[in-house]
Amino acid sequence: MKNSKQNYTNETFSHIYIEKDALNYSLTNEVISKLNKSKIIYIDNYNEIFSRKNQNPFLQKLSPSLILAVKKGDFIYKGSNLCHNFEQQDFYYTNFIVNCLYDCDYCYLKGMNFSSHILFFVNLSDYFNELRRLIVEKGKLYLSISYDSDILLFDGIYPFLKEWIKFAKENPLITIEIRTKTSNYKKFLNYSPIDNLIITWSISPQEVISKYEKNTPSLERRLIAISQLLKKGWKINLALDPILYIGENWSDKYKEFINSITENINIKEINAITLGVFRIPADYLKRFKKFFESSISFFPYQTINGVSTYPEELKNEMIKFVYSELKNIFDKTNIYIL
Amino acid sequence: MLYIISAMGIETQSIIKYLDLKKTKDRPFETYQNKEATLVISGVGIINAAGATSYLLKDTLKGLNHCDYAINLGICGSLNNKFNVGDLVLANKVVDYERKRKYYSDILVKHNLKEGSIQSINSLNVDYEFEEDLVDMEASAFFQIASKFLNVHQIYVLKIVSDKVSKNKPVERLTKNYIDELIQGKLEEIFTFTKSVGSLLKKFQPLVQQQDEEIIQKVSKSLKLTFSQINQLENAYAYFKSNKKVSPLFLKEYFNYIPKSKKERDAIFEKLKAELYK
Ligand code: SF4
Repeated sequence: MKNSKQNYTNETFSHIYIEKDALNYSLTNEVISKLNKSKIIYIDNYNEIFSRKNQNPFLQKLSPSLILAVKKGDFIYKGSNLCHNFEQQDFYYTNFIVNCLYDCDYCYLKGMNFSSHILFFVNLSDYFNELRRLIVEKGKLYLSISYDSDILLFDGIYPFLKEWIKFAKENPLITIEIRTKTSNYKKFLNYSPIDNLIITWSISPQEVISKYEKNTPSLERRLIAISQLLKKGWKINLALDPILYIGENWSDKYKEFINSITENINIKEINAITLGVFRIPADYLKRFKKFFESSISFFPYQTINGVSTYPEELKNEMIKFVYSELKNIFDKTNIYIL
Repeated sequence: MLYIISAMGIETQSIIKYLDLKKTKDRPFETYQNKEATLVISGVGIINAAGATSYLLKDTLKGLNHCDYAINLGICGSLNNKFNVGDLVLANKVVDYERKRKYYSDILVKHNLKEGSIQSINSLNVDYEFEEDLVDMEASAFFQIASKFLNVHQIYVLKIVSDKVSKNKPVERLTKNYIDELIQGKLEEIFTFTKSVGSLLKKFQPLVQQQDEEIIQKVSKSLKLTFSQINQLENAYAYFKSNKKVSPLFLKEYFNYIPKSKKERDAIFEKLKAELYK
């Protein structure tokens, strides 16, 4: 795959599509100055590229372009019921980056978006203004900011982290969650930990990572990152989500996996653990089947109320097993199941 | 298959020679072909380009078309100083000037060509605004119609700058020799690019290929599977292939097997499915 990619396809971000309105933002200049070899194409609206129906997101993954746009309309969304809300009533999410350079076979973005090109919204200040308003209205907020991408991958070219940390510090009534698979923990060392910023690490057995989470760091590297930040006092959650059916001996593999977590990090210091099996809107699964070649796309799932997931019996068995393993080593009141 | 559409015969003369294409039709559009490429000469202007593109691509909808790609090839004017006469340019933005519609090729393939934007206009006067780098009379119509048949990584506009357009200068008449020479000088670059596109498309084809579809069809027919069973078989087939990285050729055993009853059919089908999901 590597060789063929080198032979045929363009570099990542060989092209940057920029909305004319986005040119008014200093962040746009900052991004393009860092990607100074890319070809720039001016567009009126990001949907001209992002939402075209006749594109092939599978091939685009080989050579994603970047789109710089100004977000209009809604900035903050109510959390989906396919996601954990940690029993927080006012659970929201936002997306200022859409799509990802990692390539997980189960990623719902592949079913949701017509394109695999990466989209940056450069008007972060509008997001912050909207959030300030919402905090006044709601009191307390729980906000996930990396639903539609692994945002930490991009901090080098889109320096959002310092902005969000600053915002969290100034607004203690908001809790911000960043979900990631990265191993690059060092960027957090530039800041002191704050109570209302949680980093959720998605972790999976190494077999799942190798087979279904292309381009992502190994389990070992993720665990090193987690242990380093735990030592520094950062609040960290673990997401064992999605739990995947990886053949008949799946439970042995997950048992081994949970053992390796406890061997590498002090699990008692973890803030919370979330669990969930693979689940996806049936429409998104249809697109998986059209474009993506992973066996994850073709498992005989059951669809109930528009959501496809493992047949009930298998699903219960998987959750029960992982939960019972975890509750031996972790306070069960902080384990959340979906 | 590579599909080429050009406005004028003189733009295609050296291409036909280079690719060793044989004339196959005179009407409704002059058409040239070999095993790997088909070329049509559309005539000048948006209506001709749209008609010829549709004529050229209509057959591709019938089969799998993942390896097909279409190119609008020809000369154009330059509207600014970014490009010089003789430059070969791959359009990364194609604008229908009158309708204000915009099209973008998905340029996923590595290449050494220059890139720029082009506006297509309806008539040859210079009353229009110079909004993009280049100007022609066909690209946007070609792109719009080709988009109905192909994905955006399969549609390209390649233009060679033949003259510089300026507001206070009448449009130049170009000689046939001059145009032919311009094209001849760029043949190598043009076809290095098309080869890369062709290789990319061949390399990354979908999981289920024509021969797989044939196997599914034959098994479904001999076992007399129901509509829902065929759907399940397609899914299970793809699961097997995606998991094992090879086609489940054991299904060929069922090509001539005729079940004696529905009950037997259902039993065989369940067994076969279990085998595919193993
Ligand atoms: S890391 Fe997350 S966002 Fe990125 S591809 Fe994987 S699942 Fe999708």
